[in-house]
Amino acid sequence: MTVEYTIEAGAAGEPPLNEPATVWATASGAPERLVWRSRRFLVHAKPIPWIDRVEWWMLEQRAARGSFPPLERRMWQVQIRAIDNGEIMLIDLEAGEDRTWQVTGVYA
Amino acid sequence: MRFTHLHVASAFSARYGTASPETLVAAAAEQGADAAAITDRDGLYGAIRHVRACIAAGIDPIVGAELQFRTSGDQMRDIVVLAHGRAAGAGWAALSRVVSASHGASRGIAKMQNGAAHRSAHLTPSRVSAVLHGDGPPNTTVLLGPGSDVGFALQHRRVAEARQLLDRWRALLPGGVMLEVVCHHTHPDKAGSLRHAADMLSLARASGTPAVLTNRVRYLTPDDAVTGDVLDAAGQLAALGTFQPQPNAQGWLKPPKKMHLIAKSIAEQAGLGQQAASDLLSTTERLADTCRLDPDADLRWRKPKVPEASVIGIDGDPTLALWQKCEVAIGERYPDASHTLHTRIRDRLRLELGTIEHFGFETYFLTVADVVSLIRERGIRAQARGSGASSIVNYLLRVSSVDPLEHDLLFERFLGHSRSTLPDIDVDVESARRHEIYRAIFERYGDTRVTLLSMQNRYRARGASRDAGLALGIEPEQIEQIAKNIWRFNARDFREVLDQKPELREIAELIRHDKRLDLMVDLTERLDRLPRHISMHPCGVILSDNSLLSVTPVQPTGIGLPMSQFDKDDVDDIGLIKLDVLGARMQSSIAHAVGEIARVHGSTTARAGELPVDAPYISPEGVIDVDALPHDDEPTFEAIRSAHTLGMFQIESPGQRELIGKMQPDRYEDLIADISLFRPGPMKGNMVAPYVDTKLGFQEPDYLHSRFKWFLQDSYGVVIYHEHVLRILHDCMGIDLADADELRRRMERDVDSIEDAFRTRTAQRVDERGRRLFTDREIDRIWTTLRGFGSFGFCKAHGAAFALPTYQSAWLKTHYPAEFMAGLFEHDPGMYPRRLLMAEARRIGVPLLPLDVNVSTDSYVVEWADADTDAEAPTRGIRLAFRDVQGITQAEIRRIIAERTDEPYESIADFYTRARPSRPLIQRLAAVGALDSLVVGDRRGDVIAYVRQLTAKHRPKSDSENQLPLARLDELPTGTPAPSRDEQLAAQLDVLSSELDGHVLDPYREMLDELGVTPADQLVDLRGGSEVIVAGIRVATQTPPMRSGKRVVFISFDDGHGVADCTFFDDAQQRVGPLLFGTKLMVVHGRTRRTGARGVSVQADNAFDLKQLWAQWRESRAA
Repeated sequence: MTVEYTIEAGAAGEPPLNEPATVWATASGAPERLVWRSRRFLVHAKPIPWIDRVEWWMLEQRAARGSFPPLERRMWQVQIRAIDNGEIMLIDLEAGEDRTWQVTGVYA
Repeated sequence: MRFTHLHVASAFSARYGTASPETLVAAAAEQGADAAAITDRDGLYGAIRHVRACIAAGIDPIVGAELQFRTSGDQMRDIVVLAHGRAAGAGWAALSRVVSASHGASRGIAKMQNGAAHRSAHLTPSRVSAVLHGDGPPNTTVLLGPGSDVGFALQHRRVAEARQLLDRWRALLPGGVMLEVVCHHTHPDKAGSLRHAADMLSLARASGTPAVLTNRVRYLTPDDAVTGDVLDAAGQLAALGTFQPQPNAQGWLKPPKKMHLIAKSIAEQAGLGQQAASDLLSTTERLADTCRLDPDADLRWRKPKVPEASVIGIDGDPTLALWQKCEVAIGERYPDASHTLHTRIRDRLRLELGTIEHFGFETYFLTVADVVSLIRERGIRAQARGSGASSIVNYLLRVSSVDPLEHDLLFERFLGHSRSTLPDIDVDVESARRHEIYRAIFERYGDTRVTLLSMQNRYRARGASRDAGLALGIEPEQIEQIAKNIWRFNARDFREVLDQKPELREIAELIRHDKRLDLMVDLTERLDRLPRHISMHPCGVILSDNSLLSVTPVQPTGIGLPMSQFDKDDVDDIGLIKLDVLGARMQSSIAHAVGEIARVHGSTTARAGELPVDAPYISPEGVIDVDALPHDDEPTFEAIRSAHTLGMFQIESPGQRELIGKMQPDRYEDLIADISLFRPGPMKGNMVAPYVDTKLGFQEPDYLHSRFKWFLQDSYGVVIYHEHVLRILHDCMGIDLADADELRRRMERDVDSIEDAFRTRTAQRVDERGRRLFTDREIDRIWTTLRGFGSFGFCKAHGAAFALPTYQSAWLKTHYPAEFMAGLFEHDPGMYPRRLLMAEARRIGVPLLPLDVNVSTDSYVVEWADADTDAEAPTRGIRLAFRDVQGITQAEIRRIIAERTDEPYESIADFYTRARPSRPLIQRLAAVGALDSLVVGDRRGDVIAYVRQLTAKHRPKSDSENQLPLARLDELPTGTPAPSRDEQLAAQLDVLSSELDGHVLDPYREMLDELGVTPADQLVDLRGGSEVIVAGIRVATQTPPMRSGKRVVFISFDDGHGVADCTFFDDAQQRVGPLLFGTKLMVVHGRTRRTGARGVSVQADNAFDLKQLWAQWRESRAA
């Protein structure tokens, strides 16, 4: 796999990518299939969980010692295959509370 | 389930770690670990604390360090080096040396900025091997983790390269290399991802290298990651959001269960079975076992490591040598001792030497004596401070100049019989020559036995708020505005004090309306007390036998000498001797004054000081031995009682001037008492009032019991000193003085814990005829006093040691005011700005002689002020020095002086050509009159105009072809108006930061007169309670210890007539608010408060910013 194009969420300078996707997950929470950009995809290989960070200093007004301000977000890196034309992509997904997740990175 | 974290950074990884070693150890023990590791970045900064905490928690300490190395491709990568334990210290020694080597590599490189992002210490792989690889089996294990070159290659999927790099490490350190697997669940392409960890594990299996699991711990809980982000910003000197931050918050001290799960996921990701996970975990525990240190065997924990006797020139038995040295000195120290005194001296000596021998500290005492004689041999003043003054051995060896018998100081307070660590002996030396002393000590003992002590600078409220502000990208001006109003509180209480402290009122308001500032308060609190950076301790020197570099890592300092990575709290436990060689500016000032006296007066010194011509403490050449002054000089006490004590050591502060004014000391013991009473304990214990009242005769002395009278006379019956408590306990309970000191220490912690024992034992005491020595009533009284005073006392030896320079400085100011003031100007020892001392010099009739390019030097020297006239009694003045001219360089000073040695400057152009001052400098010199002597008559205006012309053109060259233009230039314009008084004053303040005549307040006099401001020197004539307005420039701000514990702010204002001490109690602080600490020129409204026969202060009601008042006043006048 060659990485030609990367968007690092939160990296300085680049506006982070944030595109909603509707995601169906397995019982243990791993993404299984999704609708994104009006296309349907299946997760193609074993998804890799990872943990990203957030810019709490932009979001929080307080960060008292011991208050555990939210600093992390749960992510998945998944290889997906489009049902329509079989295109394979590698994307980063931020897990949502319901079915609405965010696509934060796309590796073409 | 067990898991030992082997890679743990504590807060002593400055600007990286967030948790103290103690909390990390406690958490590890809580998680069921029976060993805990510390691996700070670039050093063993937290290692001793870690070992101490492990001992306390009953678990085994493991110590290592995370070090950087430079790859052949010039990249910085890191490794962890862990010391093996139970190796008779070989593992620790190797670790210590490799850490030192990493700092040695940076020698010669320009000093880098502080902060995690600017680490300069590093090694190369071959250097690591050179230091660590010995003949036998390895004493350390090197971990190659995600941050190593191997890890980096794997992260970028260059497996073959990784394998090659690993093989090279294994060849360099056979049997001493392991792979470190870390999973922080980062993005799959990043270091510390699950994939990265799995690849590391696979490499380990494929290459047959043992692998361990760590969590590369940086904080205790995920909450600390926020603090970590702020520290990263401080390390980068950049705001959050402008650099790549840490990837997430996974680097915390995860419990064993989580670590086992991680091991499982890694094995799974690597396509290996459960066995691979178990192997990873068991290898981790095996390495932990190898690295368990035995503090006694590996560190010789708390065992003093003193220089070998041969190094200090002792051949035989050190005990005997110490005896002999003391014996010889008795005749020198006590030349006229009576028979009784001789008996006391010998009894005391026997007692002290017995104790010293019991602990085996002979070499230590001899070493200290050796160092002090090394200092004195160089003609540098030295004087022991602290409880070391309690020892007659120290007095005989000339470590101390205080005679313990004269002041009834007790050796047991210094060295009891239960003490096992070395006692502290602190020596004050001339500050200006401190580095010279360090070098001499290094030279004498060698750098395998000597190193400097370091200290950890920690975040305090101001620094914390600055770095928190920086992290949030708050504008520097706003950060400064907040920082300058922060006055002595703990950063962790920032939010709490916001609403309490009047000076923070405006800031609290700002914070209510600015979310970022609100956040900044929390971040400031988070940084509180975290180590910021290490620096050279201002006075500590460490001595040991020649194993020093196997005990402590060292790193370079700015003065070219190495310092230990341990601080003062570490040295006792690791058994190193710490000698405090404190640079005391007052000692330098005294030395300067004594030098000037001899230079100016020579053989007529005694007469000049109005002293007897045969005074034994003055040499025929006029050199005064201030350590030999008689302690009963009435003119000196008279000067002290006047409360004009500016410049006198320890007694010049506003609070001290008040106390001196009240107490009116007339004997040396009063000075010791004065210094001892002005301490938090005695203040809290309310000892001042009974002392003063009894001394002034308002009440009879109460000695509690007739048996105590002889030893309570030095304080009119008030129990002030630890020594008093020792004597009382000793006499009442019939215990020896050393036991009494143990009891006293217990009393300080819990006074009531000894009551039963005290009452019982005291009641049992009988005389030879069986009668009770103390009645029940007496016991009640004594106990009540002990209870009230005993835990607040002060060590008299400390007071006596401090009183010596106090008395010496007072004596010099009294007898040789010009020379003494010159010493103060030269070394600036006190709390006040030089401009106030200059005002004091004028007040006591010592003229300040203006700066003059043909006369001034780099030093403040004394001159006969009217040498040209035939005055009957010529006075001495002080010639101003070049060094305090704003912006002058050392090179300029050297040139000005060198060029005039053969031929004085004849004209301004001549000076400009030969001395080559910068243009701004010659303009400044002109402005303050330093060129006036080069022209005839008082033509300051013309001089300034001329210099302006001169510097507008190109500098004339001094070679012959340019002689003509020079001559032409040398024509002074005429008729330029002289600068006004206000202009001259402004020039003096700008250039010299002092006024030479006039006062900074002069421009405002008209308004001040209209306001009816009272000059400071007239306050004393007013009745107590008079309403007054005073004005002045702030010269000191203090929040001294108060009996009530409430904060009282003392601000002293100089108005050109003297100093007005103003007291701001709570309500006044509320009114004054933000002006309290930030404003220089102020007008204060209040009432006078008499504090003694010659003491007065102003109790402030309200205060105003003088410049603001001035603007309003001018406006109202213009209208």
